[in-house]
Amino acid sequence: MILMKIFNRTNISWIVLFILTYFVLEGLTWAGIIDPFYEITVVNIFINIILAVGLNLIVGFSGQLALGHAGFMAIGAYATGILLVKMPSGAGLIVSMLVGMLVAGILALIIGIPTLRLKGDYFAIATLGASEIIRIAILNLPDLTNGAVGISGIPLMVDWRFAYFIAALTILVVSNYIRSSPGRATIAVREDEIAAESLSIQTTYYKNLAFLIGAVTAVLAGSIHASYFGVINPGQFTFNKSIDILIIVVFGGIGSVTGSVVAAVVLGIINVYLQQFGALRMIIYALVLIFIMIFRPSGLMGNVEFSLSKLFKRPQDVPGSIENMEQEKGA
Amino acid sequence: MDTFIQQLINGLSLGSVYALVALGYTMVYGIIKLLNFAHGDVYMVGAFIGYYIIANFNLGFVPTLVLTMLITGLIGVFIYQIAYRPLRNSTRIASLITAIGMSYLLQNGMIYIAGPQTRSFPQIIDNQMYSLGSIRISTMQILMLMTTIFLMIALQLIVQQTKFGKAMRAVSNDPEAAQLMGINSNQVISFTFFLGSMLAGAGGVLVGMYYNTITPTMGAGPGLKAFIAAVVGGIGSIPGAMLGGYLIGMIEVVISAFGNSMIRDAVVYLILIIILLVRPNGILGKHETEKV
Amino acid sequence: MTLLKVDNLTKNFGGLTAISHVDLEVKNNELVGLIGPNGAGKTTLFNLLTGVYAPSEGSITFNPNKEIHELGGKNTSQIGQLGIARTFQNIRLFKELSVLENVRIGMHSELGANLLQSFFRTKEYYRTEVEMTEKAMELLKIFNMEDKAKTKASNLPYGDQRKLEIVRALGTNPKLLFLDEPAAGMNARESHELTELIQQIHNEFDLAIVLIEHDMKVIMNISERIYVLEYGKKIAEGKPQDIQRNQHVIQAYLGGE
Repeated sequence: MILMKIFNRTNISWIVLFILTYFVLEGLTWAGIIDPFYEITVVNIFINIILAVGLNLIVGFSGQLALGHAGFMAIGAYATGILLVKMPSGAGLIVSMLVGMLVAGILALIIGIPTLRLKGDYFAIATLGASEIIRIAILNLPDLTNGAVGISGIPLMVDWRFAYFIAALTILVVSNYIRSSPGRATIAVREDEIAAESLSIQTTYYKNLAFLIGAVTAVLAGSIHASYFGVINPGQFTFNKSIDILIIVVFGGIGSVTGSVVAAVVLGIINVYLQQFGALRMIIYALVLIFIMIFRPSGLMGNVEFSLSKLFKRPQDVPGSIENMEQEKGA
Repeated sequence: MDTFIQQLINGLSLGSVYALVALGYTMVYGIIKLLNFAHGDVYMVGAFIGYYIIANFNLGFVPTLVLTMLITGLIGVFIYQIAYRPLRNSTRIASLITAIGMSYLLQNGMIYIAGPQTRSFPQIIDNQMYSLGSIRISTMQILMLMTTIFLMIALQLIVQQTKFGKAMRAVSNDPEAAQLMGINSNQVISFTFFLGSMLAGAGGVLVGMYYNTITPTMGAGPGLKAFIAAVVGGIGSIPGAMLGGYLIGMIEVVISAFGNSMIRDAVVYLILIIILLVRPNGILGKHETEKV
Repeated sequence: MTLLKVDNLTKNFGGLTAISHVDLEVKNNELVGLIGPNGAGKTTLFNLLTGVYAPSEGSITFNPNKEIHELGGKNTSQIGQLGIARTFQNIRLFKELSVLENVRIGMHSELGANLLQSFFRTKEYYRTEVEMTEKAMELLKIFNMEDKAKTKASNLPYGDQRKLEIVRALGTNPKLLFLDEPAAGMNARESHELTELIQQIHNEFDLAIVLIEHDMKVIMNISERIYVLEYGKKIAEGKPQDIQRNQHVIQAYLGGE
């Protein structure tokens, strides 16, 4: 069937794109253009992509403002930090990620189930509070987490390739999800909760689901962070970190996965460039932030997505493929 | 028992400041539904303005306080006019990010101007200790309580009795209807920012005097605490913000005194979450339903 | 056979009684009209029947397939899953999404793929997407909207927005459909066209319809039976011609003693 073919072609095209990007990065590393210093920036960008895409699912697609993403990242970082020291192996890394995902997932449901029923900013405030509690708990459990000093000497099991793989996987899974039936149900919740409910959509379920997926992806970002840099401490996971991730999401465009990816890259590069300004750096950053919000409040991409099928579209491939819909939204 | 009363007095002093800052959060939220995360930094700016006034003009307590409040209030209006007003018709999250940007700007701008170091706040009152049995209270604590109570009564009178106060309540109830009734909503919102920032400025001066030190990053912690106080009391409710402020202040002091000061913040956030679960609209907040 | 049975239904908001001891009944495949002056409680009644509000008193039973369900205490999505769909007086479309997406969202709980299928785009995912799209296009065709499938919902003309709400509700494959003033704001031609469409749905689909409408011509033309509400109370029920002659109803509408 024609429709079936379009769908399949898109999926495969995405994978081809990911593989091509991988070889470009591999080439740049081989040629020494990405040197060890820039590699740190590149990995940081991948970590931020994972965080921002996950948070965008919560904020942009299910429409629930979350202010505590760094808390889940901290859970991932500490799960890996603690377990990898005891089991310094690839299996240890995977186990630590799974443990982090389990802890974060349970916590997300504990916060989400009661507060996502409510309208208003309660969820935002609860996530803020929860992430602060996570941070303070880490500070106050020195036997496990080494308190304020943090954990250093975590085995470096992760390289940029692994970070790239996880970032690509996150993008693929999240963009598949939002273009699926459950994903549309999630967007319906954002658009009009009462109408969604009248169409048998269990709104609380989809809000919690988006929150859960977002929390779990943040754990992955935290694990990569821990095992790439080898050093973690509670000061890396403050309210400001949560806000930094939110800024990437809003800057890229709320409800655009493409936007989150682009913004993570752009802000990552701007950040390197701003280093030379020293003390003025944060002032410039703050001003840029305010100006962008005033002059382009919907972010770089609005809610438009980059669509591969646009490139492969044939006129007879109508009616009503999702991909065709996406173009229409942009028009 | 005496220790408890002693801690209560200390808690009331700290709570006064949270309450003053929380009022600004709650008024702004009540009127334009903005979580104004820059408000804690406005309070910091207030402390620095007070510092410079005393350092340069050597004024007494009351003139310093009044002047600081006026200047901080005007800064609040200026922030609204340049940063938030252009965003009144865009999404709430865009305004939230702008508020965060403004918070970064104030904090880092102050670091740039005044330097990141801690400064000691000049002493302008004769701080004495009064003893009542084993309970001790300082001039500064009395001054803090009296000033806060005076300001809160003044605020209540403004909101309940004056034309501007009525307009504020009208705009927060239904901005469109208020506009149709000939209320200039921009003026009213500016006025709200003016009042809220004035109170934050007062809080800044009082804290500077109480703890003797100020730094450009002093707004972040109490800013969040005051925000929590506003939520616990019922965000959008003025008496709620006062109650929340005193409550959080007291809880903090009591936990520090009788338990572990390391877990103090965790307990405050835990109380926040419990309140959200049990009484999501806060202690004095109102419940709203959506029309279908 | 009785599809929906409402007994002694009452709803208080604080001291105000919005619906007071209302009984009514809808049979399988019936088209029932619900009328009453402004503020009579018609929409409140829909909100009670679809779980937006919980009843203060009384019972609502729904009997779609030999299995009786009590609706009081169930939430909107649970009631939806049993086979009740509705439209809204103040149009509630997913404005940022296309017409087709609006309709497919309505089909989600019946036809949608599960989570793993959608994360990894399995074969089953493609099958469900194609099935939903085809079914949605069929429904849109009935309403002459298939060429607007890709239009953003907020860009539709007003009349089409009302029609889209009906299509979206039909996508859930309901046994009972509540239409809340579907012709409101339409001109005479549009409203005539809509009347015919409602009649067509009623004939072609296996469902019962309850219709709130202010346009008396519409309601008298197509309803098989009519209920009349005033101040939250049921003041009359019967065939259209009886209602037209009912003194109580005439008084409610014209005012007077």
